Amino acid sequence: MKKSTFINQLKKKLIELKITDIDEILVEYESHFDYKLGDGYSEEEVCIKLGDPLDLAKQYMDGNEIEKANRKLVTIIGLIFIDIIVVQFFILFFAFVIVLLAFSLSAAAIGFSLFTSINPFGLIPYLPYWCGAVMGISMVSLAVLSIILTYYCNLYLKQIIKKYIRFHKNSINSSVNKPMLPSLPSSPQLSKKHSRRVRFIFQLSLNAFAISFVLGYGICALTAKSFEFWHVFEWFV
Amino acid sequence: MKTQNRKGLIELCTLALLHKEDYYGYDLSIIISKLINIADGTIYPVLRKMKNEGLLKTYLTEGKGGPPRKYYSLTELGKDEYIKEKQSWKSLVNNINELMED
Repeated sequence: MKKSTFINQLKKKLIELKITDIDEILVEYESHFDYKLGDGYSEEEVCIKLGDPLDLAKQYMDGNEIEKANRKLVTIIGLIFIDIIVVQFFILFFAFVIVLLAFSLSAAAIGFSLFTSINPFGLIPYLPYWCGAVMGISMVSLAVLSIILTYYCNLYLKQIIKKYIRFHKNSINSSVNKPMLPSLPSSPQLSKKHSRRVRFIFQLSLNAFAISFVLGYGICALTAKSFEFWHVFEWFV
Repeated sequence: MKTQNRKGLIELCTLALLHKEDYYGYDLSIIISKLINIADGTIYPVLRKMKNEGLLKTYLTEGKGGPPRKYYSLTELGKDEYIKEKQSWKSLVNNINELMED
């Protein structure tokens, strides 16, 4: 007998006997074949040693089958209710990532315009060039800072979605006594080198932002000879 | 020995092996079929029955490449069962050996 004949006969009989989780049973025999064939046995030899597939199928009959199917149904209904809430949370989180991204892009754009004195549609109120340039540096650092935040939040979102999917599968599997995979960590798994680099850029841009913002404010205040330099530059007139 | 007698032995051997360490199904089938001369395939229905009875649990490990491996281990119930079965097996063997003394 060939492997395929053995598996097919077993499968047919199991279906006939209304056994649940036939796939899981078949996987067990298939991996048995894989190991044996890997050791150099022929398919015929493995079949003879395994025994008669029809006999084996009959040995799977027991009273638990219907109860198992019910438990699976209840679990799935429960999961659907959890999904309704959790998916909303994921969408909200995703929207947050988009907002962060938009924030970083606009910060970068403001920084760029301040640097080059390009003032699209006169949107940027009057600033003497050097005040603007220093503020421009702080805006660019802010952009870098928030891009890193965006990047990390995005990774985090991906990881918790993965974790949730794993939880989903494991819940269904455990309801029918199937084996589970280990659950995943909730923080993104970056390599040491990678996370060190990200942290370094984060700290660098944070410092650059803080220093240049304070410096920019100082220069503005000195130029205007007032702490509320925006009144002197007539921003709101 | 009759096949019927061997069914119980499969269960006992499984409990004894898993009491020491966790195995995957293939290993159990090879070790036990050598010990008590049964068809390799017979072990799998027994493993499933024992799992449904709560004596065993299974877990997967993610191997590098290839499908995840399914390991079997004893539950607390399985450990208790093993201790009970071990006692009764030992006295059974003693009694039968005595009976067979000439």
